Amino acid sequence: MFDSQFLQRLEYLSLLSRQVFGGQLLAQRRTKQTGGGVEFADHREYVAGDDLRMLDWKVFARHGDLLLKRFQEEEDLHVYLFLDCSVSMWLREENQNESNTKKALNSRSSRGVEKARPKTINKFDFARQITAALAYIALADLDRVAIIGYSKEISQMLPPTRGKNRILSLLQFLETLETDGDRTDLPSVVDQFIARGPRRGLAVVLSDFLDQEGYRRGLDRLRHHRFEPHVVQIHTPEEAKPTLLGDIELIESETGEHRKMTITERKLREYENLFEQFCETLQQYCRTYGLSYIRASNDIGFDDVLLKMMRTAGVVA
Amino acid sequence: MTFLSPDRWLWMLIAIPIIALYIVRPRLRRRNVSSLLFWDQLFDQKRQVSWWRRLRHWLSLLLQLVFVGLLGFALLDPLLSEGRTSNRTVIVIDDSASMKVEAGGQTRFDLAILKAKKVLSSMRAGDQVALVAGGKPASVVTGWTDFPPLVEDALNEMSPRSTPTDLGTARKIAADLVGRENRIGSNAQNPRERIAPKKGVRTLYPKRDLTPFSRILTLSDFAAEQDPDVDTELSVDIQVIPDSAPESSNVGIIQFTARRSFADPIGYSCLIKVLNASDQTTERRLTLTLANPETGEEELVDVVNLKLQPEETFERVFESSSQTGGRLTAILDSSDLLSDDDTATSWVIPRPPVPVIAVADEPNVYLESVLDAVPLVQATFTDAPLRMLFLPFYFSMCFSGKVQTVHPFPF
Repeated sequence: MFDSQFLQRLEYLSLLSRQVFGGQLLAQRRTKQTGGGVEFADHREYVAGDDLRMLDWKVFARHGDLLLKRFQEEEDLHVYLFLDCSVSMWLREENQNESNTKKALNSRSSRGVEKARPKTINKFDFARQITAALAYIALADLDRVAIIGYSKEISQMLPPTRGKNRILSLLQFLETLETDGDRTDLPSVVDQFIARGPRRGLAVVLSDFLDQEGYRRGLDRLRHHRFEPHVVQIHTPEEAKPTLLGDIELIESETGEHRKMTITERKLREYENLFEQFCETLQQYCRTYGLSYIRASNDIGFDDVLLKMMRTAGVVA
Repeated sequence: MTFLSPDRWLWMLIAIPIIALYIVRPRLRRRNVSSLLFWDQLFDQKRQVSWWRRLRHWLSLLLQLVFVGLLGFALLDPLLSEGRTSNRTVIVIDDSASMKVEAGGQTRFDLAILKAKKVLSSMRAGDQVALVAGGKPASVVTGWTDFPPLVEDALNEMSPRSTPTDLGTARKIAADLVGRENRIGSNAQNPRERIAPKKGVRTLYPKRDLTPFSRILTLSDFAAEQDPDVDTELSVDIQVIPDSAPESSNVGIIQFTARRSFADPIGYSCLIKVLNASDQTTERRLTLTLANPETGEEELVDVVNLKLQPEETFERVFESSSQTGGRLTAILDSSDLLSDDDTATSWVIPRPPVPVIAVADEPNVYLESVLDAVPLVQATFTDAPLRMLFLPFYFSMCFSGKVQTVHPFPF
């Protein structure tokens, strides 16, 4: 999945992020903690017990005041990439050569609503590509990157790692990830993650967020623990604008539940409206709490999504 | 229980494709989706109780099979023989001339035939039927039979005759057919009578405990009987044909007789009566003709224009003369509902000529004039005495002014 061409595109994106945003994309942001850094922060008065090596002798020589030099302590930014590994993410866009689907496509295309779609990868692969890109950029900026694969709980986790030379092991980890689990439970995953005592940092959640209420509580808990959540919603064009028509039995990929229904054009329009309302709600939530929100359809390239993220981060950060 | 049409078991095979369609029903297209979240909101499906979801499919199949079973059962024509008595019906159908009257595009006789066939179609296994013609003379058309097609064939072959009604005799024949053992007997004094709402239908029903149930169905217009005589000892159905009030617009010849005159050797007289049975004044033309049966020549006797008030009768004696006689026919023009009574025929007997040979030595003009003046006399004058030897015995001879009857064989 991650071939050399993919790596070249990652390198291009990394360079592009530095030129355009000057390192404001993810990391290279210093903590406000003062301590043992090399960058001067301010002075404070000396009290008994302070390290005499920190005294500013030049000020004492000029003014006779005992002031202690304080330095800003540099701390690596931790980037946590939460990758949804539920079964719903593995759903590949179904074959579109069925007769009624063709009919629907033709009718919709004739109205100029939708053109023929290019061959796409499934949401999980698409999310892994985005994750890899984000991790590459972060590693290139000397940030620490951790990848958490989750469904109803944390299934696999790559501990925080640093250095650009770790990219291959990171990609290898991503390749070994598999979808499982019959549901997505972001709140319990966050609880499980918090219980491990991670350092604060950015938390990028890549998911389809089809758990309508659960994602709110999960993101809330991340915020409450002073993580800075970023939301990347991934969906397929079929989810946004389905082309199902006629009598059909729909099977939910995660739970296996099935529904028999007759889908008409009117129902399709109502479905599209419902999906748009759902996306609007998610975006509104992110806007309310100052979270960045990216909506990505898997029929576009992952680099386009990254560029979109860069622009969004430039505005938000 | 017996089935009258056991060959219709084959209809039960309909159940096979029904069951096959339930078992091998087309599967719906299946499609995996990430979530049913939006679809559930969209259709707002109320999830049914699981047992009902499981049962409704088979319940539907069961209902359809029950329906097919009932349909097949009905097609088999089941007969509950227990406690059931066979019916015996004598259909008396009037085939008199009055049944030729047309009513609604059909003659009364056609309507009677239809009603008789309807009775036949309602017969069940074991029921017996007989057919009696009610025209004069009344006769049995078919005896007792439990095979309705036989009676139906007989009905198809029947046609109205040009005779009057003889329902009394017909009912008597019908009663004889039913027989004494099937009469109601002690229950006859209290028959239950029902006047059907339909005009002209009167039915007398016996009590239900009478077995076997026999009845006489009379199908007639009762043109000659204003109050049909009902034999109350039997269950008698009387159906007046047609059901509705008959349309009376008929003018007919009700009497037509002819006879030779007693005074005139070649004269004859005929009596004719024409009745206007319609509700309005009617004008008709009556034509009398005499047809010679040998030559076929038709001679016009008289023509009379009639203007008859309702229920008025025209009566007249026509007198004329004809030696040859022949068929005397009275014709009313412009036929009405009943065309049979628009024409009447009688015969005027011929008067054969009497051959007379007059033998005389000399011609006698006076005698010749006298003989020629006498009708029917065919006189021959001769002077050859030997010819008398060959004359037949009934010939008269006249000679020397004296008429004598001579034996044909004088030797």
